Amino acid sequence: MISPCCQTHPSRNKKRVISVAKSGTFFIVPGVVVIIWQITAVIFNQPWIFPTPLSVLTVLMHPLQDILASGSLISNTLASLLRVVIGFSVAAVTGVFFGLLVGSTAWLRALFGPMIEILRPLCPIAWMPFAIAVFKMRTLPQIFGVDYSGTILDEVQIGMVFVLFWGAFFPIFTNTCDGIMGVRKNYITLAETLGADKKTVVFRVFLPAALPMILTGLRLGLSLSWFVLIAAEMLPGTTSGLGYLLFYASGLAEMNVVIACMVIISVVGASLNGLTLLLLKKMVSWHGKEV
Amino acid sequence: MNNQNIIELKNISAGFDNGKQYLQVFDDFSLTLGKGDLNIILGPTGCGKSTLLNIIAGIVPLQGGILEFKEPNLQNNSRLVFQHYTLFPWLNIIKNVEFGLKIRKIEKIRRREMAEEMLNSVGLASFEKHFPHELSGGMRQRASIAQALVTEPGLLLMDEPFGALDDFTRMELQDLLQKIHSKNNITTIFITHSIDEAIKLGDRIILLSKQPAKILEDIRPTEQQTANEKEALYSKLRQQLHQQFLIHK
Ligand SMILES: Nc1ncnc2c1ncn2[C@@H]1O[C@H](COP(=O)(O)OP(=O)(O)OP(=O)(O)O)[C@@H](O)[C@H]1O
Ligand SMILES: [Mg+2]
Repeated sequence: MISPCCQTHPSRNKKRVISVAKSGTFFIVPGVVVIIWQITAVIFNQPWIFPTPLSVLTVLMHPLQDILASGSLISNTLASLLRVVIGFSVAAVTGVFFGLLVGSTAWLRALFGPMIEILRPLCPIAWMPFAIAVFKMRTLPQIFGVDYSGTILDEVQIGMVFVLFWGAFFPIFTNTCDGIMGVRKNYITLAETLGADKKTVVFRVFLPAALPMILTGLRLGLSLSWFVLIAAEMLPGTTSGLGYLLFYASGLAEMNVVIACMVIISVVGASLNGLTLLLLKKMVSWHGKEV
Repeated sequence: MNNQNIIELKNISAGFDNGKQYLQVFDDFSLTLGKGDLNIILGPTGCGKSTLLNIIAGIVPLQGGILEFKEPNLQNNSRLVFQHYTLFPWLNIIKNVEFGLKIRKIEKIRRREMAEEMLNSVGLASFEKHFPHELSGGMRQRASIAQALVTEPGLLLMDEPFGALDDFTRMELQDLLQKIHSKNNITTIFITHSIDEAIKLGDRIILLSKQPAKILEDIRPTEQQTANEKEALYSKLRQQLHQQFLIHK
């Protein structure tokens, strides 16, 4: 919108100064940290333990270059992302579906509650050996009968997807469930007296009313599966991914690669979180303003 | 006045079990409501007004006694209007109004027409696309009334619908309700704490006592013609209500 007035209000001017200063402060702390890092690394002079930020930057500047015969930064990042997207998607669909079902049905809650409470605290990584034993190294295309698809999908092992699924499922399921159970009774009554049957209530009241909680669950699930993935990729049985590259490089004392991987892991994690947060704000603008 | 009975509560009992003890809200309570009346329920807080409404709506089950409707399907054809959370916050106003029509599988174009017409008649034509939280309290109650009326209910159940509004807005909405009621004569049960509101709107005023609820007064204010009589009615109701509060303490 264009303001018809050409003079800016003084208090608004002040606000703008503050916001500029704020975006400036955003860079102050990281900048200082990098400078101190560079100085100490130069003084310390043991790049196999403590590389300079410059050498890390060099790695980051060549994302397409093969590193230690283990693929490039980009290809490993893509492999990791693809695993997470697939594992998370499976968890999202099943988590929301069962959350809706169990949250809206008391006897299902009574039936599955104890089982869920026992499985939930189990660290997803603990499933890894089991998953490897069951699924071996089988990849996604292989279960569809394609031995080798020649695409990046060959990097997606079923065992990995299984473990990521366990990581993301519970936050999604529990938040959906809690969201459903917290739906205001008025909305249900309102829908019922307007003639809604059970199915309509589930899809037109429970689902939208619980959407803020569901999206929160999805956000948590996505962050958690990213966490789990990196750890899972460090375990034996993987030959690609950021976790793999990081672990492999550390074995070869290539600390600048290790730190470059860490930077990417944190940037990708933050972006995934930011993206879902944006989605949450867009989709449930009414949230917290119910009257 | 219309004397054809439409709802009969015969010796009903109802209450709540909160796990520790049983709270008897109604015990051997009887009430008959006439077709087309705007019935006001007055009473001290916690006496069971909302419970009575919910019993009639079929939300709270009876422990004993009979609830009888003299018109087929009347209970399923009743609509509720609350004080709060009376619109779906994730739908805009016109979609809120269309909700009941959609369930009735009314075709999209017709649905939109009906909703627009209804919103127009409650004075919200230009707020179709707004969300409930973007409207004032009075506008929300207008929208809620539109949502209830658009499906042409046989029974309108209103639980302190104007309780949270300022005096002026409240008066506006009382006028709106009066206008609507004089036009379509929907049997209405209207809960309020305000004696003024009761006298202004009611074809019939029913004053309830504290638990277990009994009918203390059952008045048709339209029969009170002169100003003096109205004044007397007002003091009588005030006194009765006041006494209820004293008993409570
Ligand atoms: N779902 C419920 N579970 C347990 N007790 C309830 C429930 N609903 C109402 N009660 C109790 O029943 C009694 C009557 O409640 P009700 O809501 O009908 O009162 P009310 O007359 O509408 O009061 P107010 O004027 O404050 O709205 C109260 O003591 C209340 O605590
Ligand atoms: Mg009440």
